[in-house]
Amino acid sequence: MQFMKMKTNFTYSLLATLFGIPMIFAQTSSLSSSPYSLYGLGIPNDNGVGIVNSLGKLGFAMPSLTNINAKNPASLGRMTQKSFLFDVGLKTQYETVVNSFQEEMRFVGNFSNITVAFPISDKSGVSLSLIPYTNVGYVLFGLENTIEGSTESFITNVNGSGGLNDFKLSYGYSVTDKFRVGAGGSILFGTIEETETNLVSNSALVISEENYYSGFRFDIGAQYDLSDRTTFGLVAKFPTNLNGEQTRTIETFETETITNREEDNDLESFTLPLEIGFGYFGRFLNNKLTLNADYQQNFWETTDQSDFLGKYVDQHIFGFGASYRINPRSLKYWDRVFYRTGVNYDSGNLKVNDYRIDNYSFSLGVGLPISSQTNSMLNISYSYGQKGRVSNGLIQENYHQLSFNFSFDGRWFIKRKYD
Amino acid sequence: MKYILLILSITTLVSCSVDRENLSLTVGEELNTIGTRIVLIDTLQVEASTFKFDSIVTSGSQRILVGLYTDPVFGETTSESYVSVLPTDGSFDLRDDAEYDSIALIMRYDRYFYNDTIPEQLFKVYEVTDDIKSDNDLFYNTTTFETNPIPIGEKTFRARPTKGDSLHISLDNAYGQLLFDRLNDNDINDLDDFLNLYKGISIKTSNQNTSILGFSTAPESTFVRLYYKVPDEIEDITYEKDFSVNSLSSFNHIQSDQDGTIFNELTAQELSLPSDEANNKCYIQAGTGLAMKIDIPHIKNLYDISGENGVLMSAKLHFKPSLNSYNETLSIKDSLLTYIVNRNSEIETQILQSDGTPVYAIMENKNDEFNTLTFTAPIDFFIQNKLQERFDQNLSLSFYPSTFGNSVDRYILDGEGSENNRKMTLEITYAIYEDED
Repeated sequence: MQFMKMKTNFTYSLLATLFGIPMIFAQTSSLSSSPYSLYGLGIPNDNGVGIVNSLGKLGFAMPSLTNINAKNPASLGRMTQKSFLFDVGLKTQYETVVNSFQEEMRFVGNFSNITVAFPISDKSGVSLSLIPYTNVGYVLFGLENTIEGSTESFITNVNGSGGLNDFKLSYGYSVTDKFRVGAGGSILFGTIEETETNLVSNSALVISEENYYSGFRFDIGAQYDLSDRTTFGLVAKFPTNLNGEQTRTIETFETETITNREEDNDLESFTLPLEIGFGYFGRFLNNKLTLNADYQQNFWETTDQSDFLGKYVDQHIFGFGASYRINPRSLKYWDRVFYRTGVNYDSGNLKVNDYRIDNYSFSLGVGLPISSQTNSMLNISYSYGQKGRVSNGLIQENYHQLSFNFSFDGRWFIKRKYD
Repeated sequence: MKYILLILSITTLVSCSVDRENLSLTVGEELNTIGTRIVLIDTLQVEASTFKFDSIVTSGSQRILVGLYTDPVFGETTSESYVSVLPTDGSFDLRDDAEYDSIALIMRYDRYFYNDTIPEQLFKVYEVTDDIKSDNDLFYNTTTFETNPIPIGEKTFRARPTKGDSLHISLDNAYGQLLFDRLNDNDINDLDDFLNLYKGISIKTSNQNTSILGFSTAPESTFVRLYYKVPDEIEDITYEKDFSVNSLSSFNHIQSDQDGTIFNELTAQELSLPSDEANNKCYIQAGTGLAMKIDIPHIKNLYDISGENGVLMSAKLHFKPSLNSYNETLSIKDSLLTYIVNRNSEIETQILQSDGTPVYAIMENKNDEFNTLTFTAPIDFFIQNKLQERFDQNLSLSFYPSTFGNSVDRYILDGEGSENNRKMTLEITYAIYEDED
């Protein structure tokens, strides 16, 4: 299953090469193995940049001081001067997919983001990121259907892969010491491939689709420090249309006469709705403890879209997180480690038979300092989550997700004046 | 730093190497939108008929086919052979001091026979008096040449075609002596001299209902042998001069007396005998040129169910040889070749596979205990062609055996109007995929 198009791979490799990181992507594979990725443009990627994965996955009010907050461009308005932040993430997921009749195990793993951010003046900063936006990964194997007009059956295997990527440039600016604004632009692009293989006695009909979507999306954000301890954040992503083009090939194999057709189709454009997020971030106990609480609403109903599965409905996402560190300057390593926990609830944007496909997750994580002299950190987050419910007649996915984010602070390279 | 990257890389590698495609991934089936339908269509009308080729090529067949048999359906079928012979060693000389002894025609059975071989059979050998020649170097089942009315040899025998024997027919000594003298006296010095005097021989049968027998044309199998001797001090030494078959100028004249049969009216190739006017049967007879023709008049109806989004997966024509129409001596062979013919029943093309080998109608269920013997022909190419042609080109399928030009094999096949489990059927498996627009 080839997940990403060469194009995308190339972009990643280019970025990786540019930043001088010898990343080894020996084999790409899907970020998702969910049957739910059959609908829409796939499963939206909820894995973020930096530390948010174990803090409820939102974090609109969080800063971009020691690691990048990609959730709100306004955070780039106050960066540590001369810093160069780099973040690369990997994700693995082990899940059980259950319907009313059976249970199956699936396992996926892949790279989940690459991001850089740096200040361009005392009051402003930029970030550049490449993050998977949606993921498609499903395999349906051995579906049996009747050959009409006979008692025989044929077997269908369906294989979906691909997804959209978000290549994003963000800018943040400090209007005052306490108030920052930001804006960003995303190029959303990617290919979703579906291959349907129908095995009819000894021959096969293979229908392969390459659906290429692309579009541009604009977003804005603001952060306001009510006090040293309290920050509020607000973001808005504007609606946009993703245009789709399809190349479809229809081929037969092991038939007496070979059919091979290729057609280009325009796909109906897919509308992304207005998304508004609001967040709180607080520091307590001499900054040892931080808390964040966030809410996001995606106005899918205004897009008036439906899928063969059901209707798109407004989506509500809640995230809460807490992070604790005993003492950043302690000589004891474990005192300098961040301990984090978070919960996330996502109502989902699709209603199937009157039930939403919602998604809960609970996370635990640590931020492991790499050296005592920098803020570079390996953030590891474990999440357990559940999506859909068998009791509602839906497919239920129970997943264990492990994500690694390496947050790298470039000041490490600056020669210290005093040792 | 290095170690962390290493760990990250290893994690990636490990996570990717796990096989995710185990064999029972069907959770999610309920979410899938497979719109592809596979449809088996066996209700398309098939029209089978019989037609007769004006002539079929019988030269170059490697077989001398001689005999006569009478068939209740096909009438009286006769084959006689015209054979040109040339010296096997290419020389027109004999040894010095040679004296004539005798002459004979020796023909080795090639194991082919049709009908009962038990009755005694009579073959007669005649001298051909016309040049065995034609404008295109081909000879047909309808071709004949003049022969001398008096035979130069004849033989009554019981055929043992499967024992590897040869048939030995002594020829007239006057004929042999003349040939000997002409060679010995150097009246014949080269090929032209020889062919001028010896055009060939014809082997014919009496008009009794016996069997039709096949003989090999290989030089070591069939030849005219001139025996002569050279006197020596103690005893004469016997020599042989062989004249073997020049298969380019040899052919079988096969004809059928169809008076009183249902083929009586097939006087021209473009005429055909629909199976519903022939006891719901159609007929093939090699040698005489009877072949089966299949029309599928409403094939474009496939578009009605699929629109542009149909894909032909398979098209199989099934037909059965009629019950009691064949036996051990009136045998049917395994494979029928497939051709496309035009409205005048002229061959447009033979259907071949992509590797150039012929597409056959293959005999299935050979165990005939339950009378289930069936021919199955993959006719995908024809159907695809028909579906893609812009204007109706009135093309039909035709089937006949690969032994069409060198045997008298005959087939009686149940047509589309036969009773249910016997009738000819067309099974088309068609895939219909969804419109994307």
